Amino acid sequence: MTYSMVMSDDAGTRPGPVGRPCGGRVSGLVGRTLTCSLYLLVAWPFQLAVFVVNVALIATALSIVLAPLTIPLAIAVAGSAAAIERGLVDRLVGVEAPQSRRLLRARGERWSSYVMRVLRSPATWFEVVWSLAGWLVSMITWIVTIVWWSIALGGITWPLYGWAIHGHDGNQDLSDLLGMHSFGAAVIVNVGIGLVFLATMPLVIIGMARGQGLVSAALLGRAEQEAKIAELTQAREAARQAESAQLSRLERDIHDGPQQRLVRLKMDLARMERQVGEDSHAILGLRAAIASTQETLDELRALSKGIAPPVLADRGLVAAVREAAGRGTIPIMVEADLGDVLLPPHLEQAAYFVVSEALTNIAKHSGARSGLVSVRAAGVQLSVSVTDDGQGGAHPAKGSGLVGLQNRVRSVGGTLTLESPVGGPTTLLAQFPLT
Amino acid sequence: MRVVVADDSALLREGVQLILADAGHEVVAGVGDGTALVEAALRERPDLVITDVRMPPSGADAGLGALAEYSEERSGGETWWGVGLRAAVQIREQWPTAPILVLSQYVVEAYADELLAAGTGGIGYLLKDRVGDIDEFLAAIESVAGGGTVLDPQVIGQLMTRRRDPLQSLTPREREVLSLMAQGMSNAAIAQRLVVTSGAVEKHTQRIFAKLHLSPDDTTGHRRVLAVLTFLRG
Repeated sequence: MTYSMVMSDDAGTRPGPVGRPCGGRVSGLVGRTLTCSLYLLVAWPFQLAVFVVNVALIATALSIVLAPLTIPLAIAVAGSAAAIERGLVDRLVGVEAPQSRRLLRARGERWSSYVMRVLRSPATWFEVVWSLAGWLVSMITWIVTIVWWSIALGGITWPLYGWAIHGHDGNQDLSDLLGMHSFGAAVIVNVGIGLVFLATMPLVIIGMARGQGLVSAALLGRAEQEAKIAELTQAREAARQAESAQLSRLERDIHDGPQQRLVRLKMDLARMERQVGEDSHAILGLRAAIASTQETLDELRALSKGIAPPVLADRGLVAAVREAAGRGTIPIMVEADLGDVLLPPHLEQAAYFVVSEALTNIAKHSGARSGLVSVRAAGVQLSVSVTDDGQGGAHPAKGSGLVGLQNRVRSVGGTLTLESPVGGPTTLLAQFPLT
Repeated sequence: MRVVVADDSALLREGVQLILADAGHEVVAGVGDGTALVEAALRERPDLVITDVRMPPSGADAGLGALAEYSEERSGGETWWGVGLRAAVQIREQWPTAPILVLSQYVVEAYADELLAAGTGGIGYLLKDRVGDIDEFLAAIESVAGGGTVLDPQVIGQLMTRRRDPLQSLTPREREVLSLMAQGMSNAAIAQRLVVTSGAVEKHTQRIFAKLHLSPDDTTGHRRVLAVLTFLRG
């Protein structure tokens, strides 16, 4: 079974240090405040323009005739704007939002498949949504930025121009409203307020820029997430297949090597036993050796089954399940219906272990007189269930190997449920997704 | 008895040959692949053919198998399974009553089906381990060479998972007797195995046949085995 590994290639630009927001270019509190303010002031007009363009395009798409033209255009606009926003956020604010190359056209990739890939990726639609709604957030921050700067600067510099307006033409200052009418008081109040706003400005400005940057990153950084998820999924798939193949190979090695030798050894010992004669004192030793050899063979077989049951690898799940069911001392019926479904090896192994472990538990703990194993593949699911009419009361915590089994089932994306009321009957059900 | 032995493992082939030689049988040919087996069997017309179920189809593949040590498909994988069976079918085409005993590392239920469907003449299916129980093995080859049917208990165990309701109407003891009948044992052998009188075994078999609605004409000998197996296979 072959698999291919896609080499991931993140965007060439790696973001700057995230540690200090807005600290990309100019460090120091003043510099950072200025950088953030720049971002906030630029963001809204930019995003508003994007909104206007895209709203027009999408509204036009209501006319079905023009939709094939305007929708892609809107997506392209959103994409470009998103790229600019990411650049701004990256350089000015210092928040990570790189776009992975998945949404860029690969070299030599056909346009049709590229278009389909773009359309199918949720990241695309997040960009469109952002292009239509981003301006709301940036409008608020823009207004707040303007206000904060105005009050801070205006307050501090009040003495420079305040003398011209204080007390003229019935102008009422803030200090007048507070009941203080002197110029000095006015200075103190206005400058005080200005200082307060100036002092809080870094906090407010940097905070807002960071917040807005994070919002942008959340909406626009999805392509990378998707790429990572795809990568991880492939890696996991590869890991499963590798493990499965390795186990099969190990079992093969055991089968072809030690196991064969033991079978031959048993034959030779058995022949010796016959030649030696009933009353020879060696015969007891020989019989013991034969018994020991058979036990070793049985252990090796059990080991093989624990690693990668040979029947499973060679004949498939149903044959292996039948063998396991037929091995026990109580009658176990097997109902199997896989249809035409071809199961991947790691899924077969997991399903087989569910059955094998369940049958072991039935033999050891349940006191049952009969059992039923059902294996069914329907649509997108493989269901394996083992039922017995024993005494019930089984519980994962009682060390019946169910916890390990649960892990095994989960590692291939399946679920395991156990129903075991005291008094029985007990049913163990495992369901696996078929991709 | 003249015997042809086929197994791709020289180690095991030799072991079987020695056991047969000790008992006075003559091994007229020992081969390691399907093609050679068919050729040797038809040429020698032995009293018994013993073959592994899993072998390379031909000598060329055997060599390839050795080279394949470095590849994924070590022992030939899927394609080597059933080669012994196919060879058996081929032999039967030209020699319908050929007595054939098939050995296997582990039980594959489907092969029991195929073997039993492959026509008349002695047929047997045993685990390789069983060869080391020399007395039973020698008895089995006598039976197969004489036209009887012998099946490994583990195979029967698996076959018995198929038929649900009728088997549940049997008592555990009756199920045991049924299993031994299906393995090809005579009443006397069953009596010895279960440490009861042969009269008791007779009663069991009659009751079993009644419960399973099997014809009373088939209660003895080879026909009994076939009747039971036909029933178990559904």
